[in-house]
Amino acid sequence: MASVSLKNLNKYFGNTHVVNNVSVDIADGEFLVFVGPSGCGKTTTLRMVAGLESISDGEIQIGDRTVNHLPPGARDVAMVFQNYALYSHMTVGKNIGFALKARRFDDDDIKKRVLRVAKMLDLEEMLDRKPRQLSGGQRQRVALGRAIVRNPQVFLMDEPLSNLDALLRLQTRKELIELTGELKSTVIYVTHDQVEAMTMGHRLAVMYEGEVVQLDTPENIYNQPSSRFVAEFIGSPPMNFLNMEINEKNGKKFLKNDSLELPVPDSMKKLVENAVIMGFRPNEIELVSQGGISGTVTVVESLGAEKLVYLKLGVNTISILVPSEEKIKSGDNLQFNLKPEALHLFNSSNQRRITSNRND
Amino acid sequence: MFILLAPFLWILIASFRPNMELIRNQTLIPENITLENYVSLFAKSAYWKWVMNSFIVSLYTVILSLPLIVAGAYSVYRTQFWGRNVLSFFLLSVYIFPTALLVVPIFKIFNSLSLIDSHLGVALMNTAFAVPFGIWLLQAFLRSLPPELEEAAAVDGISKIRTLFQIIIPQAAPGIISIAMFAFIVSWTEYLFAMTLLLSNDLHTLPVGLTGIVFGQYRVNWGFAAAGAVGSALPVFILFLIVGRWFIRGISAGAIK
Repeated sequence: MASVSLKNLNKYFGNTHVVNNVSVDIADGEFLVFVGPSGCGKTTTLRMVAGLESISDGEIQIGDRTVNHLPPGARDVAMVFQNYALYSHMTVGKNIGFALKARRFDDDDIKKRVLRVAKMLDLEEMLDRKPRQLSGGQRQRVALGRAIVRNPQVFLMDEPLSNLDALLRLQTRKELIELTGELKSTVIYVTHDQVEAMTMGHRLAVMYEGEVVQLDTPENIYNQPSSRFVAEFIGSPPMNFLNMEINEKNGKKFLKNDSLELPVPDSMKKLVENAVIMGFRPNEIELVSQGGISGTVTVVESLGAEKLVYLKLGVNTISILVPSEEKIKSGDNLQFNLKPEALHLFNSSNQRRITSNRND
Repeated sequence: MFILLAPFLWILIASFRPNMELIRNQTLIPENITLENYVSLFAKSAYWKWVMNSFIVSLYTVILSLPLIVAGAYSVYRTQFWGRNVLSFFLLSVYIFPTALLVVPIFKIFNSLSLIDSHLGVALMNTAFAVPFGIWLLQAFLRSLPPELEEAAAVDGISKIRTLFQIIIPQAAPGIISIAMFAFIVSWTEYLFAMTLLLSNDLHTLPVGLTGIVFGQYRVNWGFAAAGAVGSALPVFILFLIVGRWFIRGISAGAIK
């Protein structure tokens, strides 16, 4: 296994700047997830690492080699594709062993390696079958086996779970975490699914419009999203956002809009803006019987253990998560409190996070 | 369905009617049934010889055209080279020329190459006509294959040539087989060049041989023509029945349902 370093990576398709100055250092054995909405450049970035797309500008290093001009086969990476790209005319065994055969490994050695990988992935019984005869999950494991058998420096995975149904996806996700952990693999993983990203990645690189907008651990990204976009994209159900004005009364600052007024948290005392975007997560509220922020229930969605309740606050609608024991129906009036530490403030114009320890 | 099958049915019925009856009345219901047309086709003509000749020419055509079609389609579709777009644009332009215009120059050229009176010469000509359309068909088929197959192979360090032979060709097998069938039929039914390039009676293909008899000196033998038509379609029909079955087995091999 090896580390991977992306330095000021750029990609243009004609005039479109699809990957914009991406710099990420991926440590040996790290599981790094590129996550973002479709079209954000994450797959293109991965394909540049694989050598399937040319690099417009910048540098890619795998281990201590610069691989910019190496063909895909010489980079010692293995890739798992979204549609698995299995060779449907070959048996599972041949699929797994094909790359080794092309590299002129001798037949006994290939057999041994294929069998070992098949055992690891619970595919021993399937070796003589054609991909057509396998379930989606099994096909996915064959694709994984084809990558593992080569013992590459880096695994590249392009949405490998998105063709699986929900239950199988959960199970495969867990297996993949275990497997890559055991192999101590360096993994670069691409997904648009933020839950997948949060659960699998050691670190996430959140991409938006070709740029990495935040690169950090899942916890840090969840707790301190760097911008309104990240705050909305990471976390489910998504964060609520309200446009607030900053008012000053008796030397104290308040966040205010048409329906609520909150003191600015102590940590944000140095706030200079006149208006901000205030964000809070639906689960970070506290229902109270009186004296809280009050709103009218419009829709109640039962999620099983919890209910997602849509509340009308003046002109805005927000969502909150409440325990399913709460008896709430549409039209009810609800009151809740927001803890100061649950508030995220973002600049109204550039949408960046306003941090507490600011000195500008 | 009826409209599609009606001409074939008419030919089939006509082939069992005496020629005089066909000339006299045009009714669909035969008055007399006879095998005389088939007797003269199978026993009194060189039918088997012509079938053999046609088969040889068609086989040559398939053998000559397939490698060209596969290589051409793959390169037009998957590789970048100078003039690629122009080439693929003009690919089908060979079909613009009326073939009759080409007969004389081709005869001269083939004469100087000693390709007159040879099955290979006719097959070469048929290949020239089968290849562009074949490329056009096959590249459409290649486009339908997921590009990830090749990308997976590239990442795994498998050479382009090996990818072509061990991944693309097997994956495109259904398309390649249909194109082989197409090339075979083009050659099987080709008349003009077989007629002009093959001088000896011994080398005549089925269409050439049959017309020689059908259009006798003074009258047309319609009953025989009908039997000839059935007789020339039959071998292809049988061949495709065999190949087709194998072909379907090929693509459904290992299917769950």
